[in-house]
Amino acid sequence: MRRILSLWLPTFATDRIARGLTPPLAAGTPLVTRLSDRGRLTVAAVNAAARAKRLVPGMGLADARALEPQVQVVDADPEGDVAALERLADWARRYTPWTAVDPSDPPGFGPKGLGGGPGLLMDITGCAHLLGGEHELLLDLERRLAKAGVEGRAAIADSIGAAWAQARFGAQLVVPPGGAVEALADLPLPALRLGPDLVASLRRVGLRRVGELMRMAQGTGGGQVSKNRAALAARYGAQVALRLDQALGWVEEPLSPRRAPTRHTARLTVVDPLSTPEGLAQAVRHLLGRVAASLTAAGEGARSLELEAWRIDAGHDAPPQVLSVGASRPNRDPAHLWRLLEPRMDQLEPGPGFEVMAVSVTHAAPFDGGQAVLDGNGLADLAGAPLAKGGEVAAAGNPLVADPPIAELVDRLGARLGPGRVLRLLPRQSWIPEQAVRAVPAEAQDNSPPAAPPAPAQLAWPADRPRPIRLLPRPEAVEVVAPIPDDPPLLFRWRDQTYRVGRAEGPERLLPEWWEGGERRPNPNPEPRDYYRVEDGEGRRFWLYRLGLYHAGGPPPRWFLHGFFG
Amino acid sequence: MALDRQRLLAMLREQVRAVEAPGTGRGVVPLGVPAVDAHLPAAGPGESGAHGLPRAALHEVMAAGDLDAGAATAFTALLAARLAEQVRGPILWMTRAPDLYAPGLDAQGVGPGRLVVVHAANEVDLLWAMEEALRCPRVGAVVGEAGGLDLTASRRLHLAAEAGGVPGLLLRLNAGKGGAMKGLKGAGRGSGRCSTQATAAVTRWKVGTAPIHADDSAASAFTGPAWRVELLRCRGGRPGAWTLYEREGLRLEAAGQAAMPAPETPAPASAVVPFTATQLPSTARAVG
Repeated sequence: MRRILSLWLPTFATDRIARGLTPPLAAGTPLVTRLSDRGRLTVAAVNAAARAKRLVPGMGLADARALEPQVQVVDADPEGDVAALERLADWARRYTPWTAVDPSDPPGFGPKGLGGGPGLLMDITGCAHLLGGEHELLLDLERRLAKAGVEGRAAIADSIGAAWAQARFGAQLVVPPGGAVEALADLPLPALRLGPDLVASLRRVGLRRVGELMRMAQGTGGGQVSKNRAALAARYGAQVALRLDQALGWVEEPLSPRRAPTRHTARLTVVDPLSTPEGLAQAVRHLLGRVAASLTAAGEGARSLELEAWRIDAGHDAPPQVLSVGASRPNRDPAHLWRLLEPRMDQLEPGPGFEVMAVSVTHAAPFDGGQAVLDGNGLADLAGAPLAKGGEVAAAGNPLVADPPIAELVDRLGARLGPGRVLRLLPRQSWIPEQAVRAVPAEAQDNSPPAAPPAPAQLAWPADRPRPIRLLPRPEAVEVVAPIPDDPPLLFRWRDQTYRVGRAEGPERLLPEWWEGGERRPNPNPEPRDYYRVEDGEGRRFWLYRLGLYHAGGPPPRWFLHGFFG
Repeated sequence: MALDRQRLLAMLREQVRAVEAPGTGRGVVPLGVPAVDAHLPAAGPGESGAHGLPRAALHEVMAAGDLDAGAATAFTALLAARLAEQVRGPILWMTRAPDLYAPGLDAQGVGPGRLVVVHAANEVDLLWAMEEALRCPRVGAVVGEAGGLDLTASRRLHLAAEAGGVPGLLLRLNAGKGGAMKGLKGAGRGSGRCSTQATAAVTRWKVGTAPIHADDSAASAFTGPAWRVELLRCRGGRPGAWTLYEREGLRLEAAGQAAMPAPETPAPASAVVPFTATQLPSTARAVG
């Protein structure tokens, strides 16, 4: 049985704005937001004090001022309201991973005179015991909202419809499982989330309470239910029947969470807030153990996971602190996952302490456990086998992370050093030296389709072209003495040192890649480069190039030092 | 009684050897140059075993000068490839410099299929990453371009190498007193004094380039690099200095060694061979 919590925030827009006002709003001051509606300034939202003065949303601002001259007026900010509501939904994930924003209803819905007002919907199935029960959860939620100055009413029931109705119209805040029929019977028809037109037409035939509609739908005999419901739908519209069915839990109404909850998640609520590193570590390891058990049961491993922590002093719009880590292959070893998180733990700011922590697997993948087990003592066999030459690169996938201990090492390095710091340097088809290397994260799988593995020849740098072992990130200009047009330099000067060239080799002409550039993006290498390997008198080898060619009358081409050979 | 005494002596010898030549327990890897290998520690007790670089140990390669960074890098890559030859597993190269160029490493035997480059933001991270990698037995070899490093830090690395059975190589590019390579952004080649500090490395090499003189008969036939390699320190072996030439197929050959009974390579005739692009190394050995 699902248990749904519906939270209604009748004055969220004004409460939220009042929180941010300086100087703070004195208690009991009426506050309204104004909105320009077809050239007329109207009241968009009211707070509790303004409501007590009979100001309602939708009335003209001039009327409101006439009724209550003391009213404070601020501009409405619908986008800010939505953003704040989303932050609230994130915050509410402290109670359950399934939280969703319940947007404001159109005018006419909900209790009369209170306007729509947005809310939250939360699926708290199996979560309430963490706080000691559903009543305690409701109290905790309302206490925290009240502390934040946000008026809220919440109710828990078996269905979205029933909880929605109780939060807005009912007095029974926790409807026990299976008690929706009794709990809803005495509520007025708008409690079924019906618009004013439908309510009015039902009133005309003498229907005022949900109970009356239920009796019609149920009929007198059990066997007649479906027929009567069809009659109800035919007479008053499908919407009436649907809303009734949803409220009573006869049809399932999906709750689409704001963030897809993961199948593997564990949360921990503590009475004494955690603030010491030891305490946090213990809590996280406990959560990882639970997540690992869940992954094992599903036959999966975590590719990435997230640690969220809610501080005790965090306001309702403060999102949790989050640490995310990734693993290069599906992993469910709590010790390894902890090693990934451990170096990041000092990024958490517990302040006075965390009271709720959660670990969720944001990306799970099938776990090929067999391989890990087989490799457990496979070192001896592998040590004897010489490394395959050449062909290994062509193998589809990433040969490095195919080996679990290496994958875990790569994860650990990446987790501590940060993204983009553990790399494989793979060949790229380009003659331009600085573009011939493609850096890919070491944990990344090769994105080439396995059906057509690239030939090894394409995946290697040409062996017949000597390349330096150290390449300057930017070629540095040098002054040379060189016979024209195509001879290597006799002498060059780099960083205030002069080097006499003993031997030289070249040129190797690298032409600009014609497919580079175009009208929109100019080619970064528009001129040909003539590369020379030169050796000075002490045997040191440099890679020099001449940019461009000699032209009679033109400026002489410039020379650059690009790298050092071994 | 005599037997016990012999056993005791053998045990003691083994213990002394472990102290004198640490890291040889997991075997040694010969460089393939008889003249150099003779200076390196032996794999087993006595002089009978093969000599070479201890696998599970920390080695150190220093650049002789600032402009010898290329030579030192290439020599280190060659050692790493040699040490990791018989095992699967990646070669992890920890650096803070932006100028490491993979095609050049590939030419020294560290191909793109095995190379993992770890860019560390600072020295602490770099040493941490090295130690972490050295403790993982599935790693082929670990190279670290460490700048400042004291005895304690290097001892940690050596212990990690012994524990994981993974060869570790410290590449020290900051030998000179500032200068040519110093201006590289983020190169982390700050002060020049640290490389003179003692480290716990089992071998310490100093690598520079050697001028190839026209009258050097052994050298002239090769278009590969010529390195002036000094073995400054070698636990369980003895220091030495050689001029090494890199042959095609990454074989090393020492100058003046050609006269030794080397297999399949007759002593090259004296010749001055032009150093041009058109010549393939195999045909470069023209007889004058």
